[in-house]
Amino acid sequence: MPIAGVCLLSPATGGVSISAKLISHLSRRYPTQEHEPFHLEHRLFSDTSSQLPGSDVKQRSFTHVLNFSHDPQHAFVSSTKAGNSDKSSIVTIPASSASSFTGLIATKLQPAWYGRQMLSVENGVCVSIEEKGIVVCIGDPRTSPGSQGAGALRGTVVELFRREDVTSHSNDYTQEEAEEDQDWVRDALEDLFRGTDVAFNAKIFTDRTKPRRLDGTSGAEKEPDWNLAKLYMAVFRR
Amino acid sequence: MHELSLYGSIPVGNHDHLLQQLAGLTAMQPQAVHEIHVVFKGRQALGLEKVSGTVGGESAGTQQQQQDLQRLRTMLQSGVFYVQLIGSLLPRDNKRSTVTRQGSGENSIGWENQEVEWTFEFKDTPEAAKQSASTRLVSRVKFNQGDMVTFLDMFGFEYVKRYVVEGQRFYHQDTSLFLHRVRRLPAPRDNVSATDISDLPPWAKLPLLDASGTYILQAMVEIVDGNTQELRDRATGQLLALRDTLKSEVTLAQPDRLALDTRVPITRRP
Repeated sequence: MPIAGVCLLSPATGGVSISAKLISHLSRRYPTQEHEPFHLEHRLFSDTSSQLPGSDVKQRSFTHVLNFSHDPQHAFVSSTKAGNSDKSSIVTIPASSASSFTGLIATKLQPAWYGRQMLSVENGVCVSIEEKGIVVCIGDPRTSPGSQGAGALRGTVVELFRREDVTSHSNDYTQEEAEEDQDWVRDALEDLFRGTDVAFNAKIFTDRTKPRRLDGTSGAEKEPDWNLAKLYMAVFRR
Repeated sequence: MHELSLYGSIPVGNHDHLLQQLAGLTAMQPQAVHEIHVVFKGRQALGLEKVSGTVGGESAGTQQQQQDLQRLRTMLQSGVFYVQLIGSLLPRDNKRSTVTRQGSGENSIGWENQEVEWTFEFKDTPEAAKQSASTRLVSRVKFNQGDMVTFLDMFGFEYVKRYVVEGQRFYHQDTSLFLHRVRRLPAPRDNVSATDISDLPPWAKLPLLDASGTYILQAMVEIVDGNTQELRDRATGQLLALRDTLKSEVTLAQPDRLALDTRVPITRRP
């Protein structure tokens, strides 16, 4: 089954992005094929009551609105219930409606939801390495430009997609399988980027995802990639 | 988006005649509309008591903290609303109901294998300022896929009730004319989602909300930016012109503003 792993790396000292270093290392070391530019927008809300002083942060609920270029037609909206981040419900809306829906939440649904952050990745890069059967996407999520000027860099997001292989998984994605895949992704990333002195200590989120073409063309996918959307939401939740 | 509307009521006996008049005025056949409306109620915000209790209690935090607290208080105290999930039943075939065949639309609605397009609709309470037409903020977002009722529950809205709307729609310049009435639906059975329509009674057997069969005519103009006075004036002008044109058939007027109030009443905690 295709597996994707997503992690968020911290910026280098001084707040400098490491994405350029990672991308140039990959292009020098491997025969890569570049895909369409990678971009995403993630808006995160938490429940307003949990913002009060003295509230239990662990009991916080979240709502995410996510657009990304892996699925240009849809935007994903997900809400999680307090205290149990695994219990969530997700729906899709047209990608063009994402910003007006976010605006509605921010203006008319204030008793329930408090805007925590808005991140966007522009000009991210996706490359496939055919010999390894993987696609790597790298981008810099930044907060929206505010009155202080350019948006702050939150780090670098790295996604590794592994196409079908012969090992089969059971129908449920068990904890053991997830841990196995996380270890596999971490080893693969460290191997790919050996020599860049970038450490992959950050938490890696993995799940099964929809198949993707390694030649960079996109198939006519009508079914949204729910699991991939949930991975990005998990990475950006704070 | 803002919506400016005028409403009128039409006794069932005048329905056919008005359909003919509207078809003539708009130079189009009516578009049959069958919608299921599922109503959800926003949950009250928790934590209001925590905010009001801190005034003067703790020693003043920084100015920033005080401002943040004030902002949170304002957020928590702002209105909680009713919203709707509206499912448009897509026509099975391309035949549209014509003016002469009244009732053919209802008989062809069977619930099995019926495709539905769901839209999340938020409508604000109409503005209080004195105006010629009822004006309100409206936001509609299509929900494509996913378990919408569970999502709305996690999003902060609980299911209240559902009903269906049947009618015909016409378009005249920028105005949409919606001639419709409401029928009641049975409550969903336990463990069945409110958006599950597979097991509903035949449409024609659903009881009318208003037993006299009276229809409502809504004349409505949507404007993208409600803050532009010019757009508002143009929309109001169109509505008033339409009102005068249809004066002999139906009286279009502003409804009672509070009858369209979508806010959830605040319940005081004991």
